[in-house]
Amino acid sequence: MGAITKVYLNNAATSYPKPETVVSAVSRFINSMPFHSSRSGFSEGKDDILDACRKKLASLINTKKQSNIIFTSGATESLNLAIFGNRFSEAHIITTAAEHNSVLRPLKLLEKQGKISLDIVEADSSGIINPKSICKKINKKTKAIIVNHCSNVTGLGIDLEEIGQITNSNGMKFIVDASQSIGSINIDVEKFSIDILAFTGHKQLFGLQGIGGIFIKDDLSLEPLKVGGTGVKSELLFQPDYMPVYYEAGTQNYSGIVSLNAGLDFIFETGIEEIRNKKNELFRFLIQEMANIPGITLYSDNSREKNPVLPFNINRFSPEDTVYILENSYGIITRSGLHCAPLIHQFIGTSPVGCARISLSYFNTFEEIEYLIKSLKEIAT
Amino acid sequence: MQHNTLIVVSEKEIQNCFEGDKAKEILFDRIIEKDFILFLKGKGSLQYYPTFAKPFFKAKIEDGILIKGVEGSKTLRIIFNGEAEKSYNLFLKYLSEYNNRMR
Repeated sequence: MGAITKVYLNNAATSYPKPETVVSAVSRFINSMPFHSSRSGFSEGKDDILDACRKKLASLINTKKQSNIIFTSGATESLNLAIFGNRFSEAHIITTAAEHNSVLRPLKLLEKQGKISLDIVEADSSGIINPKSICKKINKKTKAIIVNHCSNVTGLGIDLEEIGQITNSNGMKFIVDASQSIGSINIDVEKFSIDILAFTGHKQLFGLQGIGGIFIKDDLSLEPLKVGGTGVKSELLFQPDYMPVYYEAGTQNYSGIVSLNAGLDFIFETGIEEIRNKKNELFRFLIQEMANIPGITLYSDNSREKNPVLPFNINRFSPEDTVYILENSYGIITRSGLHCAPLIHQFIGTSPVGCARISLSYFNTFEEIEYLIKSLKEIAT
Repeated sequence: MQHNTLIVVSEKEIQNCFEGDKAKEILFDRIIEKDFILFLKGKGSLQYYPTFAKPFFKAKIEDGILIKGVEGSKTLRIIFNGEAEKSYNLFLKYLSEYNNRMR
């Protein structure tokens, strides 16, 4: 084994490294003369990067409505738009214990303001949310079901198709946080009857931090989080009422969109299946090796196919110390704590201090996992 | 003659979820060596793991101050459970005591 100096295993937070094509696309972009997407036409031979990126995102989630894809600063802004933009009043909302604070905090605020009543569906001891448990919470006032497609703590997913059937037949809005899954797991907004899909660009889509997006179904009219300049229809004193500009006031994050566009190219060229298979192989190896290390507790159900996210603790150290030692003694970057998803820990046995977390990328190697295992053996025993 | 003194060249507050109220990351002018770790042992309780690739240590001293770091690194993390400024001044006092011994 060659000398390893740094290993990055915190891809559920943000992916690293980015594909070389992303790095070069961003570099080309910031070294090029700025252009205006709605004015430049084809005269300079440039494709409109916004349209190109929207088209790829639309293809990724299987919708023909590329103008229904809105660029945002990330999943938090997307979910704020989804939750506050709906102007819920006297509504009952259902969500789950697997949610990130980007869902929980907006919902708790609305609950505190008396605008909604909230039901949070519990997980089992592996962190699995049963769609049937969601169904049991539905009442006459239920206006929306909001779920995390894939937990950033356990890596476990939820059956969107089953929930989509529930919402479809009950006239509720189906809002999905796909931050961890998009680019890694197939998402079909048509087939799954998803009304709103929120995502970020800097995790599985390999873009820069600060770019994300949201898919909003045609018949939904959300209140925009911001209004202002759009570069088009400037004679109007009100926000143009068509998508995507209705939701996209202000200067776009072009460098972020360029990175996202290149990240999507990488995914399409490599193939989601190939990406998932490689990550699954690495993850299976990781689980198999870690299960044999005395002094380590693994959480969640790691026998299922899931995103390659592993919550664990070393019994003789706190999660903070574990992550500190991995980073400072061995050069391995992981993450500790509640991972901004405080409720799931009450179910998987990691409350109140949380856990250490390993999250893999397509770019990790077996050599890196072997180094991690060797290091963990030294630390844990 | 070169002394094993440690001078704080930079410090920054960091987020710390669970271990205390506040935390600081300290950057020294030189790497932490074993004599500093053993000095901390005299100020409270010490956990020391010399077999790690870079030995990890964690000391608990007065005022519930936690100090952790690795031998061979220039950085140290200090976690305060009480009044941070008072605790940090106490740490600086001990650091000064250590430096005086090394001179």
